[in-house]
Amino acid sequence: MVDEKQIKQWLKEGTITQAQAKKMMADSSSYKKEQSSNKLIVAISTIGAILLGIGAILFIASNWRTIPNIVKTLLLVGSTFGAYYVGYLFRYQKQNLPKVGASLIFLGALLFGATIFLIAQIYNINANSHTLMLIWMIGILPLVYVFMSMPIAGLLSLLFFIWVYLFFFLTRQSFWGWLEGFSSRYFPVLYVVAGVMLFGIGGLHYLSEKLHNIARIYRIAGLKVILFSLFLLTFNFFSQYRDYYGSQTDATGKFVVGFVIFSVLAIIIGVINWFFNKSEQISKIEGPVSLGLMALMLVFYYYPSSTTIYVIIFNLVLAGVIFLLLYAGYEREDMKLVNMGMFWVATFIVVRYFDFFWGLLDRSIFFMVGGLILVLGGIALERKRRQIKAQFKA
Amino acid sequence: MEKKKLFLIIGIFWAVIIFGFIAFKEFTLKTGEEVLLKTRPVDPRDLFRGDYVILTYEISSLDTSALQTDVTEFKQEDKVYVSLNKVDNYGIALGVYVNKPKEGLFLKGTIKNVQGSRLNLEYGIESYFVPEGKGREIERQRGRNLDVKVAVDKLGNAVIKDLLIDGKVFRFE
Repeated sequence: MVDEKQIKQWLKEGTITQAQAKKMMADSSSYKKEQSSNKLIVAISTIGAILLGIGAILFIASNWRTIPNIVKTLLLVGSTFGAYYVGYLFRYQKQNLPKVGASLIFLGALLFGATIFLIAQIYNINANSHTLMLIWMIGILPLVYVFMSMPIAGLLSLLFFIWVYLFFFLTRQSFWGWLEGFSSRYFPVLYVVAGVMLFGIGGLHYLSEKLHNIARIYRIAGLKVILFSLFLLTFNFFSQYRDYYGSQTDATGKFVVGFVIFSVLAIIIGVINWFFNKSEQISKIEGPVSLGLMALMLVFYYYPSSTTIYVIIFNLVLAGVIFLLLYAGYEREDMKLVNMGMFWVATFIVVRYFDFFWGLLDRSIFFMVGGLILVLGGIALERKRRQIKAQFKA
Repeated sequence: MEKKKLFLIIGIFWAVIIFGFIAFKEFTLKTGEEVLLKTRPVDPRDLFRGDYVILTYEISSLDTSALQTDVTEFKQEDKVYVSLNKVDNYGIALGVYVNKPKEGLFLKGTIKNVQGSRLNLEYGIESYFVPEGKGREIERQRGRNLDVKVAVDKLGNAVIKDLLIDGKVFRFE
């Protein structure tokens, strides 16, 4: 849809008449209103679905014994299929409430997971079982492609990353098991690889015109996880090898298998995207960067170092990836990428400031300078962001 | 394929998963042999399913030097079968095998840790879900005889049936 500025320009040039300009202005304004109201409906009904889904999960978590298990199961199974059916009815059969219908299908996907967890609770299946997460993922995967549902694609990405943790890092049933998993130095390594793989899978979706929206969801999810994991690797806690690490933080056989499988897939997909995927949405730099990251992860994993070399490398790599993200956002006029880039620039600067100057400066000067950097940095970033946004709109 | 057909196929797929899951567990409960396992609990919380008690059994930690085995070395994450002998309804470990025993009562487990000849195992029956805030009730029973009654099927799968304190089935008020 054309904007007001363009219409005025055409009017000035004499390309269109006054009457045509008026009609175009009116159409453009009603289109914008419709778009914004559609977005609001989608946002509200998706939030509603999320709240209902969380409510169902919390209901299960409370394990209320007043209602017999069979009634609870029937109630939840009924709600799952009910939401799914009504969603389908609204969106496809009657087509009277397509946006709400899509949200109800999403609610069905959430309730399907809740049902799985309820059954697992009734039969006392081990807590934090990765199998349950896998069953949930398998159950909702077809929905993504049949209904082209972006929220379900987002849910699937989230479940995938939770599954990676439960399967590869949660080695035993206790609080310490969770902590050991998070503090494993291989934790960010596997997430970078898994993130690159999901990002690549997203790229493959660009091969089909119909899957463009889904592609973006996977790519953004992959990108977020890559950036967060690289950020963790900039700390020597994760990237500097120490002999005193106990056996619990060493890589398990399961980790090695996962690391190899994810790496091979990520590399194959990266190569396909680089050489054979001609989609305009894929920038030329993506292929080499993805494969470069994979190479770095393999070198880091197989050749650990007790020096600070990897700390320096990962700081440079993170800075480079953020720069490329901002560049890609600017080039494609994609505000989401710019915002993500800006967020990481700010986080990166603040954290490194604390790292480098905490020991060097007097405490009072440290906090004053830090405060000043934050305030001025905040103003500069906000200005730049607005500037870019205004440029994109123009 | 038209949307309606796909919609129905997904619905059937979900029903198969949900009822298949229930049937799988019911098979163990209905056909399985009952056995008691000596246990001791600790209390954490699951992200999706609320309060539960972590159960550690006597057979969760086994010394292979005193048991029959079919391999010389065990590794972390190995799937194993622990054969049980029933003494006064209690399951006592007889041997640990990588290959499934042809007969007798046995539990399927995964090795979580190997320390010399000692193995730490999980059997998929280490969580007992309790109503919110009631985990401590079980924890307070420490020092008394805490047992778990499980049903073990022919394939070595186990499902918890009851929690027993001093031989009596424990029910939440």
